[in-house]
Amino acid sequence: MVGQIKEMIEKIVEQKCAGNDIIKSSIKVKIILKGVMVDNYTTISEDNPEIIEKLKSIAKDMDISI
Amino acid sequence: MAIKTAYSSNKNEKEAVIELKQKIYDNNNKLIIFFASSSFNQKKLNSEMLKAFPRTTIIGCSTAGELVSSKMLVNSIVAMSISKDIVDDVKAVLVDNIKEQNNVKKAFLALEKYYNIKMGEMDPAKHVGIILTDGLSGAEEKLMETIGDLTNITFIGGAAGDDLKFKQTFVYLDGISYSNTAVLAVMHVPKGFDVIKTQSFDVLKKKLVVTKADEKNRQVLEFNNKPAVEEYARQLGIKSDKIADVFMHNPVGLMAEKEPYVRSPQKVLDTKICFYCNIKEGSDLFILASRDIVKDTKKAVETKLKAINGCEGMINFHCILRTLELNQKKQSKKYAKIFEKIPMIGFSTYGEEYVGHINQTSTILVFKRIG
Repeated sequence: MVGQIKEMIEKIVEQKCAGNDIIKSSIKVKIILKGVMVDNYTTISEDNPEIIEKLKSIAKDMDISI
Repeated sequence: MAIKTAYSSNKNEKEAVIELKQKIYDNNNKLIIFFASSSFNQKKLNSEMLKAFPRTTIIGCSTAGELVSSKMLVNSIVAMSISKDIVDDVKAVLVDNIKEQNNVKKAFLALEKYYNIKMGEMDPAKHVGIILTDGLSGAEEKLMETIGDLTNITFIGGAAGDDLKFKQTFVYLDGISYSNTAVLAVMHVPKGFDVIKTQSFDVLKKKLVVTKADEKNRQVLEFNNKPAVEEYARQLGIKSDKIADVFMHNPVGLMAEKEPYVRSPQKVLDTKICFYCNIKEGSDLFILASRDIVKDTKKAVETKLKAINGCEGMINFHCILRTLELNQKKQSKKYAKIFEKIPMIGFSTYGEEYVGHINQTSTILVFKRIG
């Protein structure tokens, strides 16, 4: 399946910012600082199991369900 | 005045604090922030501050140099009092044993109890946190990461210094100094605040993908699947044995939302490069080239003040590497002059905190006008 990483990133950002668009940017920065280059992934990016696991871990740390 | 600042270069702790009190004491004070050279007796200094300001929350830390409106100082103390008109509530807590443990959650429980709000639910427009950490702990990343996981409010601050001795740094809370500790102070700022993050670099089109890293020890082993030193040098077109000479002017940046989050190389260790901050494996870094710190900072400050119609005051967490570069280029006075009409204190840090732990940056907390 392609595009899963982008979808996961978007879910994390949406849930974490809870409608507050002003903090969307800082949430993306937090994900980048954790080692996931968010801008590298599109809807047609191949899935990378390592990154997917990293995002699952990030979601868990942020107490988010994706 | 809602914010007052002062400084003293008096070597006697008691006399220095008397000088500060004369300039910044006010019955309306809600918070005192001070930054002090490690040349002072930290215990004595803090004790005197508590005597001088007994009914106010007092936070601060030791430094590698101090800043106040129109001056860059050494061996001095700078202090700021903030009135209830700007910060109408504040709670400061300690995070202890930061080298060995991660006690952010425990500290956050105390903040939540005080404010009666979950940290995850605090309004990021009206609450801001200051973080001051032991600058020799190596714990800044894990603290900032956990803070970022648990709350959306901005935490901004710096790592304490010790005048480049690299022996022991201190953070301060309510009259006591601590090492291996961080201070978190969450403020309610009803009239609002803003942040300036400024770093003076051009981003070069020279990409270094971190293909192998020892994250815990802040070391990169390989860039682009080649030994780190060799690849860094190759990208810059210089010999490997020369790269340490260019570290200050050519650090690397992690690009996030079109801005570099600077990662400064510290030293070479065989074929590895040690950094002043954590580098995650898989990160895309870009080599940076330094620009004029004074020009860029002046522009950043003026742009921000224009956008928010002035301010009541600023706190400047300013990297020691920037201070050293300014000294080297004899630009310290010009840098200080940027802030001459702004109530400002700050210090030369061993690292800056804003979203994460960063280097060679000024992260500045700006208190908006109250009327």
